[in-house]
Amino acid sequence: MSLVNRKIIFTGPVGSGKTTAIQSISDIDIVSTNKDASDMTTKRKKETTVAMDYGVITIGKAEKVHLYGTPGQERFDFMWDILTKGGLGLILLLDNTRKDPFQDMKFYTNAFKDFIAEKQLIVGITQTDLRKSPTIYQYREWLDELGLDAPVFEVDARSRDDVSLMLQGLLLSLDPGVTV
Amino acid sequence: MSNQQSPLKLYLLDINSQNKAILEFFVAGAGREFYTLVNNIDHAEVFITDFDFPDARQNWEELNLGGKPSLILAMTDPEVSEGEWLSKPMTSDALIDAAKKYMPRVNELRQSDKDVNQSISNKNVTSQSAPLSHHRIGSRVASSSPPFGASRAMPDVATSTPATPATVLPQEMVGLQGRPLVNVDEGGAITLERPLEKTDSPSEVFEEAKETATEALAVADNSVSESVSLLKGDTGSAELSKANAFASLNKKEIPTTFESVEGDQEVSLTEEEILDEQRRHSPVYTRDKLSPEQARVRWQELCGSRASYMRSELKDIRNTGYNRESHLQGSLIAALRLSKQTQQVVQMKYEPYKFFVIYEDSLIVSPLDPKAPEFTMLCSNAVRPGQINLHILDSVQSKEMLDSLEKNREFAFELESFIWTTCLVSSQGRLPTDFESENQYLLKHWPNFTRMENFPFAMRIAALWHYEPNRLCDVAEKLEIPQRYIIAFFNAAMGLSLFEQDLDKVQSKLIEPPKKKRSGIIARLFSRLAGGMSNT
Repeated sequence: MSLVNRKIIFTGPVGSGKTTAIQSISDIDIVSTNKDASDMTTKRKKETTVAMDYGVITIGKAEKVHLYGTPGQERFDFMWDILTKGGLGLILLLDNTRKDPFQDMKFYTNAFKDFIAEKQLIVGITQTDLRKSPTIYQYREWLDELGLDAPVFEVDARSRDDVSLMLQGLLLSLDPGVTV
Repeated sequence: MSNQQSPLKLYLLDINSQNKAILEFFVAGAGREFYTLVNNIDHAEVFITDFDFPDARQNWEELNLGGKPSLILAMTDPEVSEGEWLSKPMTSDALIDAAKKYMPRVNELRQSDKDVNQSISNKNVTSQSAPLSHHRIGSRVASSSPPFGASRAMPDVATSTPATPATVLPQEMVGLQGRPLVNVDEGGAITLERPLEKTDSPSEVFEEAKETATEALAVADNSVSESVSLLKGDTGSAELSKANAFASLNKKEIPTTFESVEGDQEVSLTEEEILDEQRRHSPVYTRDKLSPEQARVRWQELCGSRASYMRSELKDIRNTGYNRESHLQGSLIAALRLSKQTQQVVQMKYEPYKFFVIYEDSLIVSPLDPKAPEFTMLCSNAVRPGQINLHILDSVQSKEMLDSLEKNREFAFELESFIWTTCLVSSQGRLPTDFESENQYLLKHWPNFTRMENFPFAMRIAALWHYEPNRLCDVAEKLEIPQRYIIAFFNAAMGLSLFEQDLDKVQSKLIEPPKKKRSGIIARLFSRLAGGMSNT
């Protein structure tokens, strides 16, 4: 059976919850390459993902959808191009407690612009329980400003329901006709 | 392009563990046709080094790589006469292009090595012949590198002066780690020793992750299901390739909490540290879990139970529909607009209740839970003119209110979610009096479904209305779902101003061809995720 188009990619800055989100929805214990953060990322996380995270959603007995999390540190961005090949869509997680989430959004949507143009983007805002501002209104305005058309959800990366709804939003954006 | 030749044997020189893991992933997947990793430098045909890694440049310059190609990662042009610069950030295309460039030259070398080996075999070389010199690229001999492919011009080993192993080893036969690459037994026989593996991960880590790694490797390729098996049969490097691909993966538990201060180095907390502390203690967001019967009752409160409108009824909707402005909903939306315009806290007084709208934080302070029966009753009742008053709080009043809120967080609700529910329980599946049945509507922004009260088919309705402009009746027909759910969605999304207001954009979207294709995997994954959930 072909394995083309069975990947979903999670991206976003350090500490935005990519690893946790994959862990929340994956049917297996995720394979992660978290290491002690050794540079400026220590300000946000004690550990960070250095290469990728990997999880799986199983469909039926044999079919699997593979979940990949990109490394949060921007210096590893050359891997992103490799990871996205054959992906179904992109989940961009943005940490609302970061200094400038708009810059994060700009950076990541630009980095993945070719993939987004061809596939689909969905934005998850994390840590909104810790900082209310910027609000979801502002994220929508930013997306408009960048000329992007994507659903935006507030997400607790630890909540399976939240991550599941985000994935459903992504799938429905790709194909509004799908049904249960 | 499909590469018909065997992949280049790639050796990673000085590269940090992160970039190494990324390259290993690339070689296991998208770059598999072009490269295969080897852990023995003597087997390598091409090298990658990262000049931004400490001492990498010096080490590379000291190595005698036998004229074999080097790919040099660096932020800026390293300006070296040999080697190919790959600027960062690197892409898979750059790596593949480099492989295509060097493949013909490596094939030449392969052929020449084959000839040399045949020659050695024919002349029955003995262990004392010291035949290793031209392959011993791991040595740090300061001899000048021959040009690429020049190894075929090496002296015939059978006629070269035999070297005494004891005198050769200390200087020449050392690997990158300084360990001897050869052993000499008592009889003088020379055997190659496997050099230290570059991977720094213990084998047990690989064993632990092996099963999952197989899955990951398979999908990394994107085209075949047996990627791991395809790694086999190439210089016996299957185990190595698998190990390299995931040897550095660590199946440790992902931390969901973060230590703010280690040991007793207690200092005043920075904002970052405070956030970390809050992360540690913040509860996981949970949605209400309703029984099927409770859900059915609640959906009826939100969406009503009326049968679908007939087309003839739609023409008379001005007389039969509900008037938003004569319900709490209308005043609430007005308060939202006022708070947005003034960036101030707005009080909405509806005796005996007081609500406070804080647009800046997307919050509303309400004495009633929006899911409480009292609130549903309040919303469904018509409001008399003058019964609800709006008032902008001054700075003192705002501060008092916000201070009070700190101690009474249970009265704070998400603003959008609150308005969403208010619109639903106000309309109960009825159309508003100003509804235009022939209008095409386009959803500009999706509702924040993770924080909204959901009802059946809500996400599908959003997806279709976001995908293309539709009349309300069209949505019901296309999705084949009861009209009341679409009306409920319409009312709530209108209340949140989520529909496109620019009619030109709606028109342009109408003629835009759909760009996405349907796929079976999407439907199957959706069913897997949404099975049993109430909002789809």
